[in-house]
Amino acid sequence: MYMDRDVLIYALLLTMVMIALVLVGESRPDVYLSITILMYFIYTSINYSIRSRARLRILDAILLFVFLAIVTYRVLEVLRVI
Amino acid sequence: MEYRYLVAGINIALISIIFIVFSLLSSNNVVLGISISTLVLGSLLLTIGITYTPPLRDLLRIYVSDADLFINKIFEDSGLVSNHRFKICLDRGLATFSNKNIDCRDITPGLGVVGDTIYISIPIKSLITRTTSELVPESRTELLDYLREVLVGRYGVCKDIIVEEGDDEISVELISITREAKSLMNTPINSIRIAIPSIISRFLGRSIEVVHEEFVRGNYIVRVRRV
Repeated sequence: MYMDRDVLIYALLLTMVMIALVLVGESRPDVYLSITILMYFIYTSINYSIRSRARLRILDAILLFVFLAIVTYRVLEVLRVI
Repeated sequence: MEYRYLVAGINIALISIIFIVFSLLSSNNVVLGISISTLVLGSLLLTIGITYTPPLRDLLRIYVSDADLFINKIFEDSGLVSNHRFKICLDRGLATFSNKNIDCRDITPGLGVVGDTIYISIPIKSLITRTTSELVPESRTELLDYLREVLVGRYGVCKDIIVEEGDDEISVELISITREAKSLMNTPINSIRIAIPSIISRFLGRSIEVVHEEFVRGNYIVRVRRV
């Protein structure tokens, strides 16, 4: 029951953020993805009930890797390396 | 495993993949970004669905570990830990451990003495009625199918079962005991060791004695004899 509520809250937060990004005219896909990943880590850290009921280590590792790849790409882009 | 989240996760992931393909074909970056974010949500639900553990089970597992320690201490003090005969007295609903052979009719729940025989008998009435309420032995099911239904399908004790029936003895091998079940088998007297013969006895409809048990390469073999 609490898990349902927590997942629903996360989905609603995600929807609100996506709508906000669309309204400000953001068109870079990696921004959407990196914001989603940040929200995932922040929400599952604040609300620990999802982590206590499910093993999210593999998903954490994958999303962290993707986030680092996005950040690295953007940093290299700013530094005009790529 | 929680199937609701699994189904929801698969659905959301599939829909987002479809939209990702659509956005790549139509070069729409906004839809691509939203679809990828939705894929993250689908992955989260999928992961929750696959790895979900109900909260009460954790509390019960903790209690069972402590209860096992308590029971084993009693067995140690009575001298029955290492050397005992193990019998399921079906009519009395008792799992009995004794230093010598003992008639089921002489046994009462708890710690007792009959003549020079010490015994400890543990009530198993709920165990043998609940595990079989949906699958009645009289419905002409084979022991192998029955054990697969209960131990593999319903309770996830192991991955598969092998049954060899002889004239007097039945050998049941539980293939690849699951990690959760193994965590409950850390003490000589444990819930899994009591549950397996109890379920077999209930299917056979008669009392049995456990004549041999061993753990071989992750498989648990128990041989029982009808009494």
